[in-house]
Amino acid sequence: MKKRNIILTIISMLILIVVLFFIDKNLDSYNTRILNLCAIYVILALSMNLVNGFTGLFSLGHAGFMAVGAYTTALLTMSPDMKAQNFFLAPIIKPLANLTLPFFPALIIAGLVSAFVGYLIATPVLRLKGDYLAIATLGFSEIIRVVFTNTQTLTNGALGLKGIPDTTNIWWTFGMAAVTVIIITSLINSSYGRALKAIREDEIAAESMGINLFKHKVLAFTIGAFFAGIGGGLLGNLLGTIDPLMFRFILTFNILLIIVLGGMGSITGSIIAAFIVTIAGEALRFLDETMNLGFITIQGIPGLRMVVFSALLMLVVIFFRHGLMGTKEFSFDKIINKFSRKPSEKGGDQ
Amino acid sequence: MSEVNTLLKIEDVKMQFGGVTAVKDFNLTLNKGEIVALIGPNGAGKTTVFNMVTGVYKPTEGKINFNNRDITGMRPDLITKTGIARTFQNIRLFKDLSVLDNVLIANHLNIKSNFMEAILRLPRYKREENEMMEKSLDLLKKVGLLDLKDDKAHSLPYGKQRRLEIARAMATNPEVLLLDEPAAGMNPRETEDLTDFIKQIREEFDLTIFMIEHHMQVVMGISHRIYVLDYGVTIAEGNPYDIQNNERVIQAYLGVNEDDA
Repeated sequence: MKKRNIILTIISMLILIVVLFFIDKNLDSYNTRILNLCAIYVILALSMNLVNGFTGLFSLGHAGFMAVGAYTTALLTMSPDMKAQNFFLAPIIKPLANLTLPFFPALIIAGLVSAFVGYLIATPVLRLKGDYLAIATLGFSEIIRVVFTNTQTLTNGALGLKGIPDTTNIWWTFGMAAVTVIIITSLINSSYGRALKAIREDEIAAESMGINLFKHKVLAFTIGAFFAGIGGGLLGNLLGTIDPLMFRFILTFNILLIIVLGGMGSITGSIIAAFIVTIAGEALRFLDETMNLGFITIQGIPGLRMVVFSALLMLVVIFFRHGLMGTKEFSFDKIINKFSRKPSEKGGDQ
Repeated sequence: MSEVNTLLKIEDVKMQFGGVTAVKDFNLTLNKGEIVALIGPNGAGKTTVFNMVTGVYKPTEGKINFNNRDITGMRPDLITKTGIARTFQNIRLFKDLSVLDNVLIANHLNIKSNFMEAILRLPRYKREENEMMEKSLDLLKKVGLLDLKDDKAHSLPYGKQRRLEIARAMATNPEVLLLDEPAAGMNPRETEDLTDFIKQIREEFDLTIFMIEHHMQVVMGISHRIYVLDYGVTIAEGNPYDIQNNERVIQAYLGVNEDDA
């Protein structure tokens, strides 16, 4: 049984690679970018789901960690010339001025820096629970953004960074997304993952079963921040320019929308919802533009898309509290059982 | 009373919440292998005693010793590691997780691999995971829940949920098991099963049991010694026969008529 699943996983991976190869060769840059964003949102949604869905900590600090990741990757991958061009108000601090790293190490460092920031924030913040935790993490995320707006010699302040090398391509995004899925799934299905779920289910019971609540919450929060940093890094090097205003609360809200829609505590749900929300975000772009309904012409209302998403979120919360998948996961066993049940009634054993 | 077999010793413990004294001057010793019951009317402070022993509350005064080690005010998870496990008055299972997961989680406290080893499924973690799985399945078999191992905990019938909660506590390898009203809400038949079950696990795992219970049938049937609390004060202590005939206990439970007194 297990061997079959491994083979099926490898086959689907190969199919994915072929599809990606096809996309890379044939799709135009607009559609490729949407797919890149989808994969990045998969990473972000999974990292947020680990904290909010699996550990049950209502954290709204994701945009902050993404900012840390995006800035770290950008500053480590930009060429010295480009940095000099960007920092015309005040020169960039010395050690960073001439430092240029390849994309992969830069991305990993971005994740680690973000995880470190997450760890520092977690220590005081995780003494809070529920709504208070949400407010405190939201506050810290805004603090990161404000700090980045004011550290002229480190982040170029409100001017942001331009000319970041566009290293992010479909292989990076889907590759990192696959790695994230594998790592988070592995974590969730390990003893540590079970401990995190126990904390979500009942903190008091978890603690009296010998689980160190604080240590495990910090662990989830830090790993979440790590992947948020990676996601941010990929995003920065995909867009080519970043500035502090990008990392406002609305970005966290987008990811929250994905995990609520997909199901808090479902990896499969997060992946599906990341694609749905990102693609719908582009498909609904017409709502922001001038619409001609034949008898009436509606002036474009910028932000109408967000109204649709907000309404969708409300509907999900009111009528489908568990989202698309609840806490269920995709598995080859289930699919095969579903398809093999009917033939087996006829006596076939294959 | 020899020091050797005294497992748990509570000395002059007092618990105050603001101006309310929930428990006062409470003393208790628990010897290895005993079943000791703590009874008393509602609001007498029984669960408060449990919460102090398990570290949920830090006593205002007094000392709690376990295996000659001071555990007063220690964190609950650390106290569990020293060998005291508990169940709850209102069942606190991990409702959305499977029966097997509930028991596996209680094994987590002994894990030596760190989270990186767990993510990468390195040999040491794999070995530990296999051990946990084997132990949990074995435990579920012993408590008769093996065929329900993949069911969600909340889908079990009430009596089985109680049983699972005890099994989960057992999975932490305790020396002392604290049962908070294990027979609450059970019918006579289930109560009888539970009594047998408690006896059975005590023999099988060489346990010492400290329980809070209202069902006199259970209390009188299996406990060696009984403590009676009323308004935070110990009003009686002794074997079931003495307690049943103790004037103050009867008064505390049935009330006393001022005219007759």
